[in-house]
Amino acid sequence: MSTLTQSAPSAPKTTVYPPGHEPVHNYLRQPAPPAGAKGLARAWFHARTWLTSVDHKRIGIMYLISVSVFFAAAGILALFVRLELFTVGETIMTADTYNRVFTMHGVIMVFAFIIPSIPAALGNFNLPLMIGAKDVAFPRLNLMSLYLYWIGVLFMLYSLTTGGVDTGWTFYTPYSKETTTAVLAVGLGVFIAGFSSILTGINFIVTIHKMRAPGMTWNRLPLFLWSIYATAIVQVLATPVIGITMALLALERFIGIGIFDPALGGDPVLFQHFFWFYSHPAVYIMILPAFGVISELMGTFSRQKVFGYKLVALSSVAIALLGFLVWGHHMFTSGQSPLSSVVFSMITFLIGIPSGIKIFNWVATMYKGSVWLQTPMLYALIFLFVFTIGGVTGIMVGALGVDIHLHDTYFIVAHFHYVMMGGTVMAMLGGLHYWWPKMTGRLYSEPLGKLSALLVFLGFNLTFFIQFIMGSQGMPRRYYDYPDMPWLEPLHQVSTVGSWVLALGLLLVLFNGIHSLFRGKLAPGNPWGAVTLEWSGCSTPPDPHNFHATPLVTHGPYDYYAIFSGDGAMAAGGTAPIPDVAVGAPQPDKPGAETN
Amino acid sequence: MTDHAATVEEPDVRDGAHGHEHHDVMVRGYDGKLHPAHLQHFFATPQQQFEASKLGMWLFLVTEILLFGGMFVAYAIYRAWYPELFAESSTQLDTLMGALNTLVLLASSLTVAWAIRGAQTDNQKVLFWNLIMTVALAGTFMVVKYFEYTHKFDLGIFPGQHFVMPDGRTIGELGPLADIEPLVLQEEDMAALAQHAPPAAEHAVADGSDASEEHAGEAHGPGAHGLTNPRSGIFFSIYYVMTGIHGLHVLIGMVAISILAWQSKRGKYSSVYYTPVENVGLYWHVVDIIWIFLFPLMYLI
Amino acid sequence: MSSHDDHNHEGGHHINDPSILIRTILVLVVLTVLTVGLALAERSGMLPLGGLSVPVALAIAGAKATLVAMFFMGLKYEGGTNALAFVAGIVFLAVFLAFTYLDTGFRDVFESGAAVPVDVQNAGQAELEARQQELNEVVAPPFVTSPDTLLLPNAPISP
Repeated sequence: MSTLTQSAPSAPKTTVYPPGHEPVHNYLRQPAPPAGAKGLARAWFHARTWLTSVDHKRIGIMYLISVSVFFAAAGILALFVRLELFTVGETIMTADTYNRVFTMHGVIMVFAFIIPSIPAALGNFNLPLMIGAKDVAFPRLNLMSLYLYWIGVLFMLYSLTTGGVDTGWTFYTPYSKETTTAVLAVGLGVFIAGFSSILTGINFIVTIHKMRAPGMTWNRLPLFLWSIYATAIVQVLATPVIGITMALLALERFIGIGIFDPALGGDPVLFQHFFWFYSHPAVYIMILPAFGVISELMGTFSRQKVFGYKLVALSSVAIALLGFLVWGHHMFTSGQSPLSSVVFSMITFLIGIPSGIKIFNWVATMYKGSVWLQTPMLYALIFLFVFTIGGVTGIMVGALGVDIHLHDTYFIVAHFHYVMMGGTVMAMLGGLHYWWPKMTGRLYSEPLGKLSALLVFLGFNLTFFIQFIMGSQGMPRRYYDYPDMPWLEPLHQVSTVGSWVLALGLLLVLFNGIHSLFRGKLAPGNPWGAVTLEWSGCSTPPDPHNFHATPLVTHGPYDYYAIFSGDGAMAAGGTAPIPDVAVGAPQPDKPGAETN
Repeated sequence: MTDHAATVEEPDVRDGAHGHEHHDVMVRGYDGKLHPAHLQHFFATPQQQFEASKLGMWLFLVTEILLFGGMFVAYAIYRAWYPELFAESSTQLDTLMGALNTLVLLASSLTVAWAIRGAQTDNQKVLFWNLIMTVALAGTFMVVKYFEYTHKFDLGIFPGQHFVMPDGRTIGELGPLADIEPLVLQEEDMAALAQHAPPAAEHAVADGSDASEEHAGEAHGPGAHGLTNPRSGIFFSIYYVMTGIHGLHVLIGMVAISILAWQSKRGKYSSVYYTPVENVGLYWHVVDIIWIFLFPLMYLI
Repeated sequence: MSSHDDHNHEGGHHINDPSILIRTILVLVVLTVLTVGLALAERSGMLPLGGLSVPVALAIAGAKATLVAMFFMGLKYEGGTNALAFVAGIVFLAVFLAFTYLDTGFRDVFESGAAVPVDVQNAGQAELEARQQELNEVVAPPFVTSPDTLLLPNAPISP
């Protein structure tokens, strides 16, 4: 990692800084290992330095690596699922194995990847930078949250040693009580990972409330932070309920408390209420941060203010709160009272309003802007396209009558993959490319980035669009096999081939990232010419303490006009303003961006 | 955490609140200014640090409310479904012991609030002894709880499928309750159930519910509680889970307050810095508030 | 830098007043005795509260909890954010309960949870049974019918 260190020309110093605290110094630089340490001892020294670091940036990077690993693992499971469905009958695995594989795919994707993905990785890294703070409010809690996440995921993975779980990621009773597979281990994993999520949420709310730099008013908060804030609200309010649900499920298996077991007089539908009271808001834990990333990308790469800033900000909070009132739309066919189905269906439509506000405002942001089609923006555009499909099909399946037909079919599978994969993962990839120079100090290869975006887009739609058609024709989800119909098998095969294209695209992203670490150009201070504080107010990569003087914020997060005054910044041909800081040069130790 | 601290300065004598004398240890940071030793480097002022900790604690309390909330919802739903079951089952709980425990917890809330006052006024004795009192009261609560639990275990009142019916069978052995209608069993249903019972246990129910009610007063041993509704197991599941998790919180609170007492003995807390005392106090009050609701729901109505 | 002398701003350092603490605990004890007394009186048949016993007990518990929150926890002297967080927790618990009850409390609105159309609900029992019979006789459509249905989604499904 020491290759990433930017050399600091000696500047006249007014203050004597201790080693490691010079004004131009990057958070990736490792202290020198003890003299004489070689091989393992040296590696252990570096590992320990990272693992005990309470720096939010390092924790963000550790989260990023972790979620990427689990994303890859769950993605490989998905490839196996698709491969099994390539032909009628048994292709590569038995039905039992299939059940366990798709369950683990769901569990790891949901709890180990997508919930912590954007908030814990990108959010941790950027939150203090964006508000001009030195760290989050509780750095040690932040590290503990990371450890809890690892422990939780370990329990989930431990279940693999006993053959996995076959309940699906929803753990519905009474089957989850009766199956002999390792529900307890996975449930405990979810319970512990839930605590990690709660701690992250508390940390973020407090940080945003109490640690903003002078001048960083709520109206100047970048939209990414508004959505992280809304996400944190959901994390704090919803996650405890999955904790008690998993505890009750464990007790159900241990001692048969009977609350969810009809054989003992309990009600299995009550379990579904408990589960979805968390898991539906959790869907917004997954997608809200993605909205935030897209807002940042739209503003930066359209070179103008995000249209309707206040509405976009408040719609995040509105989605977070409304999201608590719609969980019953997962249960239209489960035997809940028709009255509640009707009510839940109606409130579900309401969610479309704030989501629509966002989509329209993003489109309006691009209107008459200088749209700069760099890789992050490509992902943002892909997001707009696929998320809109995912959102609108969400309204379709939220309609009570339609859902009776589509419930538990591939239509649902396609819908939530359009939202989760097409929404969150695309935004994650966009955000990753956007903040990559900030995190690593290196530029990735732009042509390779664009190629991978194209492949991901094609592969994703090839895989999942066809599933809308299969689902509407009645192909049930989670089934290991399907009838030998002349038209059905080809559709499955198209979907499977699509998954390979998608995988290839994601591999390219990985290659691009790793390649840039070793061969990429050194990143300039502000490669995108963005005006949010993390780009305009601190060095690239950031200093261990982010800012040496607390910045004074004097403008909004997307005030391109005020900053660049239209000169040169929006030159013909869509070129971005020349980065304001030369490669490797020291950042001026001045507060705020208005001086740039 | 205060890794910007380069040198420890001579203690800067400052006044505590209301004229109580207090020595706050000051250190010089790399910015060349003096900071209180307890101020973490990423906060600008002690006030900001205090407010942040406190908001964090309140948010944590919100998660506690919703954690218990799940069980309160389960209670409410089942109570709405089976009101007679709840009325009947709750008579098995000892109201006076519950009331005693309520008073004990209320008193412990007072002592912990008083302990905070002790810290705020730099009165180390008041701080320390109130914390000790709080731990003692919490211990009393747990002892009472222990006697309540063991009494129920003696009567065969276990949660869920292990609940022992008057005929000696556990609910798990009765067979699927979902097939039994109406939902609340009448005497004839019990009689019907008893026909499938093992011969040894047959007489227990054959006498009818009157007999078993009589037994409740004098007889002891599993099944001698007089409850004939096979869904009683659900009520006691909720009872054990709620009071059990609450008890777990009491234990955690006892450990936390003991640590505070130990630290306060070493003079860690004063009017200048007492955030942990304040936050653990808040936690303790929420444990109290949850019991304030558990008590009438379980024991009284 | 030190601000422990300010008492009234958000998250500030309010110092508990002994007389308020004492008065609070006294009221709490009285309320506890009251609610236990009411319950015992009702159980012995002296004071038939009927349907009121639950709301009364809960109201007393609510009052006690409010006292603890206000004076022991100092919510009365707290800034808006902390109070808002606490209230939000309670509100969302209420949402959880209300919407779950919307299901569990109303399952018998229609016959045993089956979604029978309203006009059939309003019809007589005989008609209802006839309609149920009719519904039962409908052969469930086969899983997937023919390639035509893919191209012509509206094509009638052949049983």
